Amino acid sequence: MGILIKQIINLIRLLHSDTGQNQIASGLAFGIFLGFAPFISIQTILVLFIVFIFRVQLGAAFLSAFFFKFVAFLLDPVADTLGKQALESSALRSVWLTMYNTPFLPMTRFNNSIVMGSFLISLVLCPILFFTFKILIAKYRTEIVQKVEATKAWKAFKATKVYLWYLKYNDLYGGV
Amino acid sequence: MVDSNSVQNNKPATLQKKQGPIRWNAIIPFVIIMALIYGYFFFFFDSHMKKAIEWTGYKALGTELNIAHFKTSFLQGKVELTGLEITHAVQPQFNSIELSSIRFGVNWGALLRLKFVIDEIAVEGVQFMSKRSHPGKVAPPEPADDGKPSFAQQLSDKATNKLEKDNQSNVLSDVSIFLKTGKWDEQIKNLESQLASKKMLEEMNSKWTSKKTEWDAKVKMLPTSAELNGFKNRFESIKSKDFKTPQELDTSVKQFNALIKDVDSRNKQIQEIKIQLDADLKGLDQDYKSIDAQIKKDIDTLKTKFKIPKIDAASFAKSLFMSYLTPIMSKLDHYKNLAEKYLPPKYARKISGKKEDIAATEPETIQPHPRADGTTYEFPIPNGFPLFWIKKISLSSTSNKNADYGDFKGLIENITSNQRQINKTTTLDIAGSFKKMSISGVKINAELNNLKEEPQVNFGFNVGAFPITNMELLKSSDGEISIPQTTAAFQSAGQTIGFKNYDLKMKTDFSHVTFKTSATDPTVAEVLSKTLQAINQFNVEATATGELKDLKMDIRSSLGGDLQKAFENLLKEKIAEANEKLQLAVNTELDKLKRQLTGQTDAIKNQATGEVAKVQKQIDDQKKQVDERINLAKKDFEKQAQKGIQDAGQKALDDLKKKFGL
Repeated sequence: MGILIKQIINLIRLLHSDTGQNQIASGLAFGIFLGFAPFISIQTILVLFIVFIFRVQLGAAFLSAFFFKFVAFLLDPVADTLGKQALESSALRSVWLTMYNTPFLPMTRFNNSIVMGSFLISLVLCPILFFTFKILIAKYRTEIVQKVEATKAWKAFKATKVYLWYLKYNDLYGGV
Repeated sequence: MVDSNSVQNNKPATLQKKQGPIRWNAIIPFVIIMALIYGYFFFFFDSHMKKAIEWTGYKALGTELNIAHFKTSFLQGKVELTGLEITHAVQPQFNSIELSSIRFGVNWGALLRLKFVIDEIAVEGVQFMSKRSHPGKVAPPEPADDGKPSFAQQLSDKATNKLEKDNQSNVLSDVSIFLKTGKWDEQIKNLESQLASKKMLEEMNSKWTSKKTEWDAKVKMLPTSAELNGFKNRFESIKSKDFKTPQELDTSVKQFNALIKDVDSRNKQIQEIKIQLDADLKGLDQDYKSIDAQIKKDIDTLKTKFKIPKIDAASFAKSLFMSYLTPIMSKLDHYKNLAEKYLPPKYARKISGKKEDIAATEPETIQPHPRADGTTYEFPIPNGFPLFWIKKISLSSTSNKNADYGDFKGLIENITSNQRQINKTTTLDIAGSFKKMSISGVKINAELNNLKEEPQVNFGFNVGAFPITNMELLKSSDGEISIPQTTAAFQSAGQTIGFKNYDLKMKTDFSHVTFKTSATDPTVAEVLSKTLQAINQFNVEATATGELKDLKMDIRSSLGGDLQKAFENLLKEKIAEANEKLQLAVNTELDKLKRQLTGQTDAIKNQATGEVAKVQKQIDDQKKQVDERINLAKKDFEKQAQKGIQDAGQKALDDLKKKFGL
């Protein structure tokens, strides 16, 4: 839980700094894989490994995964249709056959129409989301943050002890 | 109030430096954890696994299991186990089996597909009953399961019938007592309380007395002679010819119909009584059969009680060899219990005979994990593996001067979770000998066939020759029969289909036999000595067939036949006399009651049957006469009518002629 709080604070801090656009955007984009894939599967472990090893913002990845888990349920019918089309495609049959007989790969459960459809959706959406989030973060920093910081409410909040505690925490444990 | 910008600006310059794409501060802990895991597997895993196997083995088998060394290689997927010893449950200072080494490699290709496949397990240095360095631990026996008899107990009960078991019968003792006393005539006088058939006869007497009263009442309900005469008078008073008008005929027919209706009503009543009588007569036959069976059972019980020996080959065989076969059956029982405990639930349920839970029934083919929605596609698996598969276990053992491992070879093939997927049955073949123990020609074969609808197991266990010492066939205060030394050959074969129907056969041929006999009664001692001295070989055959809950067990032995002949000469006349006396005593006790019962039942048979038949005949005759008379009346009226029409026509013609003056 401590790591999660730390990562969310880091996310807020990064959002309000001038750096870390790529980290946040990649975290949010990778979150779609975590959200769309079955909870216990090889692909989830692989994405988690990438997220941990590379400097991807973990808080962003987990928040995004949480959000996309709900989206995945809504998109199940679409994923099912898409997965069926892919798995029944005669052109791809030899690929699936090879994958089915290859070690490890059956553990991804790629032969399920929803898993396959969800994976294809996340594969297509991941780069789009990365660039979209990058643009949105930049706009957030230039337009929204400045406006919020100029408000009296924000100034009042900055005077509270909660904010002081946040600053102290950030001072002691801050870091990406 | 603190300004965030000022806090950020005050941060040391080192924190502001640009960070690369790899999170090194995560990789280092990860590497450390991996190193620790590797360290654990390198230094501790083998010893922990050794302890885990020893503990699990003890819990599963109930006897101490020891392993000298356990070594694994994760990367090569190899496991090596040396010095495996399993303590003998009865003699803990010995091992029931000792294996000097077991080696196998796990198939990585299958493991990466989450399947456990072993191409070959090599088992070497197999030794039975080897001396342990220290006595092994043996778990106390588990409490009996709800008083349910064990498999061995069931077989034993089937072989020596319950009657003998209850009275602790022993042929030798029976013969001795019979020869010694012969004073059971006194006891015969007090048979009354010991005859269940007497009580049964009394009950039946009372039952049939009340039945007789019932039948007396029913017979009275039958039509009396006056009533039958009344029918006759009514019948004769009805006009049946010389009808002048159709109305007259109609009245007669109506009277006839009314009479038929009354006769039918009484006839129906008679029919009902007849059906009841038939049912009672059938019940009576059944009661007589039950009494006969009970009398026979009572006589058998008394014969056992008064120790009248059964001089027949089967009884001798059962008496002599049940104790020899019981340990073999106990072993079977032990393995059956182990199988029930550790086989997959689907098979264990079949062995225990419990009903299969339909919901829990698993299909034979491995199904993918269910997902809430979506379709899971199955692609062909040209080189697929079942979930668990040991392709081959090679057993080999050669004696050397240091240890008598025995010389044998064996092969177990295709132990698998899914025979249908590999389309092969599980087979076992072992052959060899143990020279030091003078055991030769050991052959074990078995096959588990799960390709058929019902799983089928066939097995055979043969030993060409093995020595037996101090074999006690019979021991009691009246004497004993034992074999100090002999050589035996053992053959057994069995089959079970669906773990429900069993067919077991065992045969032991004893050769080079010398008997040791003694008996307190000098006559018995002489007979035993003379008979058994002439025998130097014999056999014992045992069979058990049918469902486990109702196994039909049979034991035969050539020795039984020899003893039968010997004792027959000595006791034939005396036993016949004793049996005759007993039969006479029983007959005397029961004859009066039987006569009473016969009297009651004969009365019912004769009186009721006779009365019913008589009345039925009278009624039938009456009815027949009525029918005939009605037909006659109808014909007569037809003639009358025809004649009337003819006369009327003739008259009209004559009148017409007259009118025209013709």
